[in-house]
Amino acid sequence: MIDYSKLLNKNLQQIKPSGIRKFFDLAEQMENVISLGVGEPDFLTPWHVRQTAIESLAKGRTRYTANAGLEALRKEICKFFNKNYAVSYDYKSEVVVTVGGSEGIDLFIRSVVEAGDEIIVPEPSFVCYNPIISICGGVPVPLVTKVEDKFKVTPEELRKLITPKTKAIILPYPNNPTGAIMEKEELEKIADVIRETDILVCSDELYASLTYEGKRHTSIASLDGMKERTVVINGFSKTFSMTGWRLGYALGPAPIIKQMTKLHQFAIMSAPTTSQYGAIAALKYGEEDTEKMKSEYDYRRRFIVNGFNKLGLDCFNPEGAFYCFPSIKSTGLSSDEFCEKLLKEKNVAVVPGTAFGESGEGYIRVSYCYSIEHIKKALKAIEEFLGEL
Amino acid sequence: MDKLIKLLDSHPGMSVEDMATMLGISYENVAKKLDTLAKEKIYMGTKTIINWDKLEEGNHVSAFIDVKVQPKLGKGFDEVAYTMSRIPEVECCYLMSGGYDISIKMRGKSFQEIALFVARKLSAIESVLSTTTHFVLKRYKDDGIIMENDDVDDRGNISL
Repeated sequence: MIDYSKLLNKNLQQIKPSGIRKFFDLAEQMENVISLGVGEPDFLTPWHVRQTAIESLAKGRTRYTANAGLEALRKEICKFFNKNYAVSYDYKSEVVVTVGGSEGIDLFIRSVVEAGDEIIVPEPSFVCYNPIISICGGVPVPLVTKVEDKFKVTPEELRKLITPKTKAIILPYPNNPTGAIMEKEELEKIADVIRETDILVCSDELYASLTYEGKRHTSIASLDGMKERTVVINGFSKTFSMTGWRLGYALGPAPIIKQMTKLHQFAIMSAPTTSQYGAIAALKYGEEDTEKMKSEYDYRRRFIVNGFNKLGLDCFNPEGAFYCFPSIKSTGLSSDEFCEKLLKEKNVAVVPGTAFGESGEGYIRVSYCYSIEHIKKALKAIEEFLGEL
Repeated sequence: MDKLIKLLDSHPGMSVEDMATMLGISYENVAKKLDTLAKEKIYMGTKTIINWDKLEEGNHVSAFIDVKVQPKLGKGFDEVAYTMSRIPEVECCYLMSGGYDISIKMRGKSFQEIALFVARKLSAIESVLSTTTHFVLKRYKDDGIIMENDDVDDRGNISL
Protein backbone atom coordinates (compact mmCIF):
# COMPACT_ATOMS: atom_id res chain seq x y z
CA MET A 1 0.00 0.00 0.00
CA ILE A 2 1.47 3.33 -1.02
CA ASP A 3 1.65 5.94 1.71
CA TYR A 4 0.64 8.91 -0.36
CA SER A 5 1.13 11.31 2.51
CA LYS A 6 4.86 10.68 2.26
CA LEU A 7 4.84 11.37 -1.46
CA LEU A 8 2.64 14.41 -1.54
CA ASN A 9 3.87 17.92 -0.93
CA LYS A 10 3.89 18.51 2.84
CA ASN A 11 3.02 22.18 2.55
CA LEU A 12 0.03 21.33 0.41
CA GLN A 13 -1.16 18.58 2.69
CA GLN A 14 -1.00 20.86 5.69
CA ILE A 15 -3.50 23.22 4.13
CA LYS A 16 -6.79 22.32 5.73
CA PRO A 17 -9.74 21.91 3.43
CA SER A 18 -11.96 24.87 3.98
CA GLY A 19 -14.23 24.35 7.00
CA ILE A 20 -17.27 25.37 5.04
CA ARG A 21 -16.84 22.59 2.48
CA LYS A 22 -19.53 20.65 4.36
CA PHE A 23 -21.91 23.58 4.13
CA PHE A 24 -21.14 23.96 0.43
CA ASP A 25 -21.86 20.30 -0.23
CA LEU A 26 -25.12 20.59 1.65
CA ALA A 27 -26.14 23.67 -0.35
CA GLU A 28 -25.26 22.07 -3.66
CA GLN A 29 -27.22 18.92 -2.91
CA MET A 30 -30.41 20.72 -2.02
CA GLU A 31 -33.01 21.50 -4.62
CA ASN A 32 -35.08 24.63 -5.14
CA VAL A 33 -32.62 26.70 -3.19
CA ILE A 34 -33.17 30.45 -3.27
CA SER A 35 -29.54 31.33 -3.49
CA LEU A 36 -27.78 34.57 -2.74
CA GLY A 37 -24.58 32.61 -2.63
CA VAL A 38 -22.70 32.81 -5.89
CA GLY A 39 -19.79 35.11 -6.60
CA GLU A 40 -20.49 35.28 -10.29
CA PRO A 41 -22.51 37.66 -12.49
CA ASP A 42 -25.94 36.52 -13.60
CA PHE A 43 -25.56 38.40 -16.87
CA LEU A 44 -24.40 36.53 -19.90
CA THR A 45 -21.32 37.70 -21.77
CA PRO A 46 -22.34 40.50 -24.17
CA TRP A 47 -23.44 39.08 -27.50
CA HIS A 48 -20.83 40.90 -29.59
CA VAL A 49 -18.07 39.32 -27.52
CA ARG A 50 -19.54 35.84 -28.00
CA GLN A 51 -19.92 36.50 -31.72
CA THR A 52 -16.32 37.66 -32.10
CA ALA A 53 -15.10 34.51 -30.37
CA ILE A 54 -17.27 32.35 -32.62
CA GLU A 55 -15.88 34.15 -35.68
CA SER A 56 -12.34 33.53 -34.49
CA LEU A 57 -13.13 29.82 -34.39
CA ALA A 58 -14.70 29.94 -37.83
CA LYS A 59 -11.54 31.58 -39.13
CA GLY A 60 -9.46 28.80 -37.64
CA ARG A 61 -7.79 30.73 -34.84
CA THR A 62 -7.35 27.56 -32.85
CA ARG A 63 -3.64 27.44 -32.03
CA TYR A 64 -1.56 28.57 -29.07
CA THR A 65 -0.89 32.27 -28.82
CA ALA A 66 2.32 33.91 -27.65
CA ASN A 67 3.00 32.91 -24.03
CA ALA A 68 2.19 36.38 -22.75
CA GLY A 69 -0.99 36.48 -24.85
CA LEU A 70 -1.99 37.88 -28.25
CA GLU A 71 -0.16 41.08 -29.04
CA ALA A 72 -3.41 42.74 -30.09
CA LEU A 73 -4.97 41.83 -26.75
CA ARG A 74 -2.01 43.06 -24.72
CA LYS A 75 -2.15 46.35 -26.60
CA GLU A 76 -5.87 46.70 -25.86
CA ILE A 77 -5.33 45.83 -22.19
CA CYS A 78 -2.70 48.55 -21.85
CA LYS A 79 -4.93 51.06 -23.66
CA PHE A 80 -7.95 50.15 -21.52
CA PHE A 81 -6.02 50.33 -18.29
CA ASN A 82 -4.42 53.65 -19.12
CA LYS A 83 -7.74 55.14 -20.16
CA ASN A 84 -9.61 53.96 -17.06
CA TYR A 85 -6.99 53.99 -14.33
CA ALA A 86 -4.29 56.30 -15.70
CA VAL A 87 -1.28 54.01 -15.56
CA SER A 88 0.60 53.25 -18.74
CA TYR A 89 2.21 49.87 -19.32
CA ASP A 90 4.36 48.54 -22.15
CA TYR A 91 2.50 45.75 -23.92
CA LYS A 92 5.81 44.09 -24.79
CA SER A 93 7.20 43.61 -21.31
CA GLU A 94 4.74 44.67 -18.63
CA VAL A 95 1.66 42.54 -19.21
CA VAL A 96 0.87 38.84 -19.17
CA VAL A 97 -2.53 37.39 -20.11
CA THR A 98 -3.56 34.75 -17.59
CA VAL A 99 -6.18 32.09 -17.04
CA GLY A 100 -8.45 34.29 -14.96
CA GLY A 101 -7.35 36.71 -12.27
CA SER A 102 -6.72 33.66 -10.09
CA GLU A 103 -3.77 32.56 -12.19
CA GLY A 104 -2.32 36.05 -11.98
CA ILE A 105 -2.47 35.88 -8.19
CA ASP A 106 -0.90 32.43 -8.22
CA LEU A 107 1.88 33.58 -10.56
CA PHE A 108 2.63 36.63 -8.46
CA ILE A 109 2.85 34.70 -5.22
CA ARG A 110 4.93 31.88 -6.67
CA SER A 111 7.26 34.36 -8.39
CA VAL A 112 7.88 36.25 -5.19
CA VAL A 113 7.49 34.07 -2.11
CA GLU A 114 10.24 31.92 -0.64
CA ALA A 115 10.31 29.94 2.59
CA GLY A 116 9.79 32.17 5.61
CA ASP A 117 8.65 35.23 3.68
CA GLU A 118 5.74 37.07 5.20
CA ILE A 119 2.90 38.31 3.05
CA ILE A 120 0.32 40.63 4.56
CA VAL A 121 -3.20 39.62 3.60
CA PRO A 122 -6.19 41.77 4.58
CA GLU A 123 -9.09 39.88 6.07
CA PRO A 124 -11.91 39.19 5.36
CA SER A 125 -10.99 38.61 1.75
CA PHE A 126 -11.10 36.12 -1.08
CA VAL A 127 -9.80 32.71 -0.15
CA CYS A 128 -6.99 31.93 -2.56
CA TYR A 129 -4.10 34.00 -1.21
CA ASN A 130 -3.25 32.15 1.98
CA PRO A 131 -3.10 28.59 0.60
CA ILE A 132 -0.81 29.59 -2.27
CA ILE A 133 1.46 31.56 0.07
CA SER A 134 1.63 28.54 2.39
CA ILE A 135 2.41 26.10 -0.42
CA CYS A 136 5.41 28.27 -1.25
CA GLY A 137 6.53 28.07 2.37
CA GLY A 138 5.55 31.64 3.01
CA VAL A 139 3.64 32.95 5.98
CA PRO A 140 0.35 34.75 5.43
CA VAL A 141 0.00 37.53 7.97
CA PRO A 142 -3.63 38.53 8.40
CA LEU A 143 -4.45 42.22 8.57
CA VAL A 144 -7.88 42.28 10.11
CA THR A 145 -10.08 45.03 8.71
CA LYS A 146 -13.00 46.28 10.77
CA VAL A 147 -16.45 47.55 10.05
CA GLU A 148 -15.67 50.79 11.93
CA ASP A 149 -12.90 51.40 9.36
CA LYS A 150 -15.34 50.47 6.59
CA PHE A 151 -13.29 47.28 6.12
CA LYS A 152 -10.37 49.29 4.71
CA VAL A 153 -6.67 48.77 5.33
CA THR A 154 -5.39 51.51 7.62
CA PRO A 155 -1.77 52.70 7.64
CA GLU A 156 -1.61 52.14 11.43
CA GLU A 157 -2.58 48.47 11.15
CA LEU A 158 -0.26 47.97 8.20
CA ARG A 159 2.71 49.50 10.00
CA LYS A 160 2.23 47.18 12.98
CA LEU A 161 2.54 44.10 10.80
CA ILE A 162 5.59 45.00 8.75
CA THR A 163 8.73 43.10 9.77
CA PRO A 164 12.08 42.59 8.04
CA LYS A 165 10.56 39.41 6.60
CA THR A 166 7.63 41.14 4.94
CA LYS A 167 7.88 40.80 1.19
CA ALA A 168 4.51 41.87 -0.10
CA ILE A 169 0.99 42.94 0.73
CA ILE A 170 -2.11 41.80 -1.07
CA LEU A 171 -4.55 44.64 -1.67
CA PRO A 172 -7.91 43.12 -2.61
CA TYR A 173 -10.12 46.13 -3.39
CA PRO A 174 -12.95 46.46 -4.31
CA ASN A 175 -13.32 43.66 -1.83
CA ASN A 176 -14.99 40.29 -1.92
CA PRO A 177 -16.76 39.65 0.51
CA THR A 178 -17.29 43.06 2.15
CA GLY A 179 -17.87 45.28 -0.89
CA ALA A 180 -15.42 47.79 0.62
CA ILE A 181 -13.34 50.02 -1.63
CA MET A 182 -10.15 52.01 -1.04
CA GLU A 183 -10.30 55.59 -2.24
CA LYS A 184 -7.37 57.61 -3.53
CA GLU A 185 -6.62 59.47 -0.32
CA GLU A 186 -6.75 56.22 1.68
CA LEU A 187 -4.42 54.53 -0.78
CA GLU A 188 -2.04 57.51 -0.53
CA LYS A 189 -1.66 56.81 3.19
CA ILE A 190 -0.93 53.14 2.49
CA ALA A 191 1.53 54.14 -0.23
CA ASP A 192 3.29 56.45 2.25
CA VAL A 193 3.99 53.45 4.47
CA ILE A 194 5.03 51.20 1.63
CA ARG A 195 7.34 53.72 -0.04
CA GLU A 196 9.53 53.63 3.07
CA THR A 197 10.08 49.90 2.51
CA ASP A 198 10.92 47.40 -0.24
CA ILE A 199 7.54 45.74 0.02
CA LEU A 200 5.69 44.80 -3.16
CA VAL A 201 1.97 45.25 -3.62
CA CYS A 202 -0.23 42.71 -5.34
CA SER A 203 -3.30 44.79 -6.12
CA ASP A 204 -6.18 42.45 -6.89
CA GLU A 205 -8.52 44.74 -8.82
CA LEU A 206 -10.92 42.24 -10.37
CA TYR A 207 -13.92 44.34 -9.34
CA ALA A 208 -12.39 47.68 -10.38
CA SER A 209 -15.16 48.45 -12.85
CA LEU A 210 -17.85 47.98 -10.20
CA THR A 211 -17.79 50.96 -7.86
CA TYR A 212 -20.84 52.98 -6.91
CA GLU A 213 -22.03 56.27 -5.48
CA GLY A 214 -20.08 58.17 -8.10
CA LYS A 215 -16.77 56.81 -6.80
CA ARG A 216 -14.20 55.75 -9.38
CA HIS A 217 -11.72 53.01 -8.64
CA THR A 218 -8.16 54.14 -8.07
CA SER A 219 -5.33 51.74 -8.74
CA ILE A 220 -2.52 52.06 -6.22
CA ALA A 221 -0.16 51.71 -9.19
CA SER A 222 -1.26 55.17 -10.31
CA LEU A 223 0.20 56.85 -7.22
CA ASP A 224 3.65 58.38 -7.23
CA GLY A 225 6.41 55.81 -7.04
CA MET A 226 3.99 52.90 -6.73
CA LYS A 227 3.99 51.51 -10.26
CA GLU A 228 7.48 50.09 -9.71
CA ARG A 229 6.31 48.26 -6.56
CA THR A 230 2.95 47.03 -7.73
CA VAL A 231 1.59 44.14 -9.73
CA VAL A 232 -2.01 44.75 -10.74
CA ILE A 233 -4.25 41.73 -11.19
CA ASN A 234 -7.37 42.23 -13.26
CA GLY A 235 -9.55 40.25 -15.61
CA PHE A 236 -12.63 39.91 -17.72
CA SER A 237 -14.87 37.81 -15.44
CA LYS A 238 -16.53 40.59 -13.50
CA THR A 239 -16.12 43.56 -15.85
CA PHE A 240 -17.62 41.81 -18.87
CA SER A 241 -19.42 38.82 -17.30
CA MET A 242 -16.89 36.40 -18.75
CA THR A 243 -16.30 34.02 -15.82
CA GLY A 244 -16.34 30.83 -17.85
CA TRP A 245 -13.88 32.18 -20.40
CA ARG A 246 -11.14 32.05 -17.78
CA LEU A 247 -9.22 35.13 -18.73
CA GLY A 248 -7.34 37.73 -16.77
CA TYR A 249 -4.14 39.71 -16.84
CA ALA A 250 -1.31 40.95 -14.69
CA LEU A 251 0.42 44.30 -15.15
CA GLY A 252 3.64 45.23 -13.46
CA PRO A 253 7.35 46.01 -13.61
CA ALA A 254 9.08 44.15 -16.45
CA PRO A 255 11.42 42.08 -14.20
CA ILE A 256 8.45 40.68 -12.23
CA ILE A 257 6.26 40.11 -15.30
CA LYS A 258 9.18 38.33 -16.94
CA GLN A 259 9.35 35.79 -14.12
CA MET A 260 5.57 35.43 -13.95
CA THR A 261 5.44 34.84 -17.72
CA LYS A 262 8.13 32.19 -17.38
CA LEU A 263 6.05 30.31 -14.81
CA HIS A 264 2.95 30.79 -16.93
CA GLN A 265 4.80 29.41 -19.94
CA PHE A 266 5.72 26.21 -18.10
CA ALA A 267 2.38 25.67 -16.40
CA ILE A 268 -0.15 26.96 -18.92
CA MET A 269 1.64 27.74 -22.20
CA SER A 270 -0.89 30.39 -23.18
CA ALA A 271 -4.36 31.46 -22.09
CA PRO A 272 -7.27 30.07 -24.17
CA THR A 273 -7.05 31.51 -27.68
CA THR A 274 -10.80 31.80 -28.31
CA SER A 275 -11.21 33.68 -25.05
CA GLN A 276 -8.43 36.06 -26.00
CA TYR A 277 -10.17 36.99 -29.25
CA GLY A 278 -13.43 37.56 -27.38
CA ALA A 279 -11.60 39.71 -24.86
CA ILE A 280 -10.29 42.05 -27.56
CA ALA A 281 -13.90 42.80 -28.55
CA ALA A 282 -14.86 43.27 -24.91
CA LEU A 283 -12.13 45.85 -24.33
CA LYS A 284 -12.76 47.66 -27.60
CA TYR A 285 -16.53 47.82 -27.61
CA GLY A 286 -17.71 46.68 -24.18
CA GLU A 287 -17.76 49.90 -22.21
CA GLU A 288 -21.51 50.34 -22.60
CA ASP A 289 -22.14 46.72 -21.56
CA THR A 290 -20.21 47.25 -18.35
CA GLU A 291 -22.08 50.48 -17.63
CA LYS A 292 -25.44 48.74 -18.10
CA MET A 293 -24.51 45.89 -15.77
CA LYS A 294 -23.13 48.31 -13.22
CA SER A 295 -26.31 50.33 -13.23
CA GLU A 296 -28.35 47.16 -12.66
CA TYR A 297 -26.03 46.05 -9.83
CA ASP A 298 -26.43 49.48 -8.29
CA TYR A 299 -30.25 49.14 -8.17
CA ARG A 300 -29.88 45.79 -6.50
CA ARG A 301 -27.22 47.04 -4.11
CA ARG A 302 -29.47 49.76 -2.75
CA PHE A 303 -32.40 47.39 -2.63
CA ILE A 304 -30.66 44.59 -0.75
CA VAL A 305 -28.77 46.82 1.70
CA ASN A 306 -32.02 48.59 2.53
CA GLY A 307 -33.69 45.18 2.87
CA PHE A 308 -31.18 43.86 5.41
CA ASN A 309 -31.15 47.08 7.41
CA LYS A 310 -34.94 46.95 7.59
CA LEU A 311 -34.74 43.37 8.87
CA GLY A 312 -32.49 44.59 11.69
CA LEU A 313 -29.36 42.96 10.25
CA ASP A 314 -27.05 45.98 10.12
CA CYS A 315 -25.47 46.18 6.73
CA PHE A 316 -22.30 48.10 6.02
CA ASN A 317 -22.81 50.22 2.90
CA PRO A 318 -20.76 48.49 0.18
CA GLU A 319 -19.37 50.82 -2.47
CA GLY A 320 -17.89 48.20 -4.77
CA ALA A 321 -18.09 44.65 -6.16
CA PHE A 322 -21.47 42.88 -6.00
CA TYR A 323 -21.71 41.74 -2.40
CA CYS A 324 -23.07 43.03 0.84
CA PHE A 325 -21.87 41.89 4.24
CA PRO A 326 -24.61 42.24 6.84
CA SER A 327 -23.92 41.60 10.50
CA ILE A 328 -25.92 38.78 12.06
CA LYS A 329 -24.56 39.37 15.56
CA SER A 330 -28.00 40.47 16.79
CA THR A 331 -29.34 36.93 16.25
CA GLY A 332 -26.89 35.44 18.74
CA LEU A 333 -26.00 32.76 16.19
CA SER A 334 -22.56 32.15 14.77
CA SER A 335 -22.13 32.72 11.04
CA ASP A 336 -21.99 29.00 10.37
CA GLU A 337 -25.07 28.29 12.50
CA PHE A 338 -27.00 31.10 10.87
CA CYS A 339 -26.23 29.94 7.35
CA GLU A 340 -26.87 26.27 7.99
CA LYS A 341 -30.14 26.94 9.80
CA LEU A 342 -31.29 29.37 7.12
CA LEU A 343 -30.51 26.86 4.42
CA LYS A 344 -32.22 23.96 6.16
CA GLU A 345 -35.29 25.87 7.31
CA LYS A 346 -35.88 28.31 4.46
CA ASN A 347 -33.85 26.94 1.56
CA VAL A 348 -31.95 30.21 1.31
CA ALA A 349 -28.21 30.02 0.67
CA VAL A 350 -25.79 32.73 1.80
CA VAL A 351 -22.11 32.31 2.67
CA PRO A 352 -20.84 32.47 6.28
CA GLY A 353 -18.43 35.37 6.78
CA THR A 354 -15.96 32.91 8.29
CA ALA A 355 -15.37 31.46 4.83
CA PHE A 356 -13.28 34.58 4.25
CA GLY A 357 -11.22 34.40 7.43
CA GLU A 358 -11.92 34.19 11.15
CA SER A 359 -12.65 37.89 11.31
CA GLY A 360 -15.73 37.24 9.16
CA GLU A 361 -17.43 35.77 12.25
CA GLY A 362 -20.72 37.53 12.92
CA TYR A 363 -21.29 38.33 9.24
CA ILE A 364 -22.75 36.71 6.15
CA ARG A 365 -21.77 37.36 2.57
CA VAL A 366 -24.70 38.04 0.34
CA SER A 367 -24.34 38.28 -3.41
CA TYR A 368 -26.68 40.47 -5.40
CA CYS A 369 -25.98 38.83 -8.74
CA TYR A 370 -29.68 38.08 -8.87
CA SER A 371 -32.80 39.77 -10.19
CA ILE A 372 -34.72 42.13 -7.93
CA GLU A 373 -37.60 39.64 -7.90
CA HIS A 374 -35.29 36.88 -6.72
CA ILE A 375 -33.74 39.13 -4.07
CA LYS A 376 -37.23 40.05 -2.84
CA LYS A 377 -38.14 36.41 -2.48
CA ALA A 378 -34.97 35.66 -0.55
CA LEU A 379 -35.41 38.67 1.76
CA LYS A 380 -38.97 37.58 2.48
CA ALA A 381 -37.75 34.12 3.46
CA ILE A 382 -35.00 35.60 5.65
CA GLU A 383 -37.60 37.82 7.33
CA GLU A 384 -39.69 34.75 8.15
CA PHE A 385 -36.58 32.96 9.39
CA LEU A 386 -35.68 35.81 11.73
CA GLY A 387 -39.25 35.91 13.02
CA GLU A 388 -39.10 32.25 13.96
CA LEU A 389 -35.74 32.41 15.76
CA MET B 1 -30.96 60.01 -19.43
CA ASP B 2 -33.17 60.74 -16.47
CA LYS B 3 -32.54 58.10 -13.79
CA LEU B 4 -36.20 57.40 -13.21
CA ILE B 5 -36.90 56.95 -16.92
CA LYS B 6 -33.99 54.54 -17.21
CA LEU B 7 -35.37 52.51 -14.31
CA LEU B 8 -38.93 52.55 -15.67
CA ASP B 9 -37.58 51.32 -18.99
CA SER B 10 -35.58 48.42 -17.55
CA HIS B 11 -37.88 47.50 -14.64
CA PRO B 12 -41.50 48.08 -15.63
CA GLY B 13 -44.18 47.55 -13.03
CA MET B 14 -42.13 48.29 -9.89
CA SER B 15 -43.88 49.90 -6.97
CA VAL B 16 -43.04 53.53 -6.16
CA GLU B 17 -41.51 52.35 -2.89
CA ASP B 18 -39.19 49.86 -4.60
CA MET B 19 -38.18 52.40 -7.23
CA ALA B 20 -37.35 54.91 -4.51
CA THR B 21 -35.11 52.34 -2.79
CA MET B 22 -33.41 51.31 -6.01
CA LEU B 23 -32.66 54.90 -6.94
CA GLY B 24 -31.76 56.01 -3.43
CA ILE B 25 -34.26 58.88 -3.48
CA SER B 26 -37.34 59.56 -1.40
CA TYR B 27 -40.78 58.05 -2.03
CA GLU B 28 -42.31 61.52 -2.39
CA ASN B 29 -39.73 62.51 -4.95
CA VAL B 30 -40.38 59.47 -7.12
CA ALA B 31 -44.14 59.87 -6.85
CA LYS B 32 -43.89 63.52 -7.84
CA LYS B 33 -41.58 62.86 -10.77
CA LEU B 34 -43.75 60.01 -11.98
CA ASP B 35 -46.75 62.27 -11.90
CA THR B 36 -44.95 64.91 -13.95
CA LEU B 37 -43.74 62.34 -16.46
CA ALA B 38 -47.29 61.06 -16.89
CA LYS B 39 -48.68 64.58 -17.27
CA GLU B 40 -46.08 65.38 -19.89
CA LYS B 41 -47.00 62.15 -21.67
CA ILE B 42 -43.47 60.83 -21.34
CA TYR B 43 -44.40 57.95 -19.05
CA MET B 44 -47.20 56.19 -20.95
CA GLY B 45 -47.75 53.16 -18.71
CA THR B 46 -46.68 49.52 -18.81
CA LYS B 47 -47.85 46.71 -21.02
CA THR B 48 -47.95 42.96 -20.51
CA ILE B 49 -46.40 40.73 -23.14
CA ILE B 50 -48.36 37.56 -23.81
CA ASN B 51 -47.17 34.76 -26.02
CA TRP B 52 -50.44 34.36 -27.93
CA ASP B 53 -49.04 31.48 -29.95
CA LYS B 54 -49.23 29.36 -26.80
CA LEU B 55 -52.96 29.86 -26.44
CA GLU B 56 -55.22 27.36 -28.17
CA GLU B 57 -58.55 29.14 -28.00
CA GLY B 58 -59.29 32.03 -30.37
CA ASN B 59 -56.50 32.08 -32.93
CA HIS B 60 -54.43 35.18 -32.55
CA VAL B 61 -53.07 36.52 -35.78
CA SER B 62 -50.82 39.51 -36.17
CA ALA B 63 -50.08 41.46 -39.32
CA PHE B 64 -47.94 44.35 -40.44
CA ILE B 65 -49.63 46.53 -43.01
CA ASP B 66 -47.66 48.90 -45.21
CA VAL B 67 -49.86 51.80 -46.20
CA LYS B 68 -49.26 54.37 -48.90
CA VAL B 69 -51.27 57.54 -48.42
CA GLN B 70 -51.79 60.87 -50.11
CA PRO B 71 -50.54 63.52 -47.69
CA LYS B 72 -52.84 66.46 -47.15
CA LEU B 73 -51.80 69.98 -47.87
CA GLY B 74 -50.67 71.67 -44.67
CA LYS B 75 -51.35 68.58 -42.55
CA GLY B 76 -48.91 66.10 -44.03
CA PHE B 77 -49.48 62.57 -42.78
CA ASP B 78 -50.58 63.48 -39.27
CA GLU B 79 -54.29 63.67 -39.87
CA VAL B 80 -54.60 60.27 -41.53
CA ALA B 81 -52.19 58.69 -39.04
CA TYR B 82 -54.23 59.97 -36.09
CA THR B 83 -57.40 58.64 -37.72
CA MET B 84 -55.81 55.21 -38.11
CA SER B 85 -54.51 55.28 -34.54
CA ARG B 86 -58.03 55.68 -33.23
CA ILE B 87 -59.15 52.36 -34.72
CA PRO B 88 -59.13 49.91 -31.78
CA GLU B 89 -57.74 46.98 -33.78
CA VAL B 90 -54.62 48.99 -34.65
CA GLU B 91 -51.87 48.13 -32.16
CA CYS B 92 -49.09 50.28 -33.58
CA CYS B 93 -49.07 53.06 -36.12
CA TYR B 94 -45.83 54.63 -37.33
CA LEU B 95 -44.83 57.12 -40.02
CA MET B 96 -42.03 55.47 -41.96
CA SER B 97 -39.19 56.41 -44.23
CA GLY B 98 -38.69 54.34 -47.36
CA GLY B 99 -41.03 52.72 -49.84
CA TYR B 100 -44.32 53.37 -48.05
CA ASP B 101 -45.64 55.94 -45.62
CA ILE B 102 -47.41 54.39 -42.67
CA SER B 103 -46.80 51.08 -40.94
CA ILE B 104 -49.61 49.53 -39.00
CA LYS B 105 -49.43 46.54 -36.69
CA MET B 106 -52.68 44.86 -35.80
CA ARG B 107 -53.96 41.74 -34.10
CA GLY B 108 -57.07 39.79 -35.00
CA LYS B 109 -58.73 36.45 -34.36
CA SER B 110 -58.07 35.17 -37.86
CA PHE B 111 -56.41 35.96 -41.18
CA GLN B 112 -59.87 36.62 -42.51
CA GLU B 113 -60.68 39.16 -39.85
CA ILE B 114 -57.55 41.09 -40.67
CA ALA B 115 -58.22 40.86 -44.41
CA LEU B 116 -61.68 42.26 -43.83
CA PHE B 117 -60.31 45.02 -41.66
CA VAL B 118 -57.89 46.07 -44.38
CA ALA B 119 -60.50 45.90 -47.11
CA ARG B 120 -63.32 47.62 -45.24
CA LYS B 121 -61.84 49.91 -42.63
CA LEU B 122 -58.35 50.80 -43.71
CA SER B 123 -58.79 51.10 -47.45
CA ALA B 124 -61.95 53.10 -46.84
CA ILE B 125 -59.96 55.95 -45.36
CA GLU B 126 -60.00 58.66 -47.97
CA SER B 127 -56.32 59.35 -48.50
CA VAL B 128 -55.20 55.69 -48.49
CA LEU B 129 -53.69 54.86 -51.87
CA SER B 130 -52.63 51.25 -51.36
CA THR B 131 -51.94 48.61 -48.71
CA THR B 132 -49.66 45.58 -48.48
CA THR B 133 -50.40 43.11 -45.69
CA HIS B 134 -47.74 40.86 -44.15
CA PHE B 135 -48.96 38.18 -41.75
CA VAL B 136 -46.79 37.08 -38.84
CA LEU B 137 -46.18 33.33 -39.10
CA LYS B 138 -44.22 32.80 -35.92
CA ARG B 139 -43.18 35.06 -33.09
CA TYR B 140 -39.60 34.67 -31.87
CA LYS B 141 -39.11 37.85 -29.91
CA ASP B 142 -41.54 40.56 -28.88
CA ASP B 143 -40.56 43.87 -27.31
CA GLY B 144 -37.18 42.53 -26.26
CA ILE B 145 -38.50 39.26 -24.87
CA ILE B 146 -37.47 35.97 -26.46
CA MET B 147 -40.52 33.68 -26.63
CA GLU B 148 -38.76 30.32 -26.36
CA ASN B 149 -35.81 31.28 -24.23
CA ASP B 150 -33.81 28.26 -23.09
CA ASP B 151 -31.24 30.24 -21.07
CA VAL B 152 -30.88 28.66 -17.66
CA ASP B 153 -29.14 29.83 -14.54
CA ASP B 154 -26.52 27.11 -14.29
CA ARG B 155 -24.41 28.79 -11.63
CA GLY B 156 -25.07 26.36 -8.80
CA ASN B 157 -26.08 27.50 -5.33
CA ILE B 158 -22.83 28.72 -3.88
CA SER B 159 -19.35 29.85 -4.93
CA LEU B 160 -16.78 32.15 -3.37
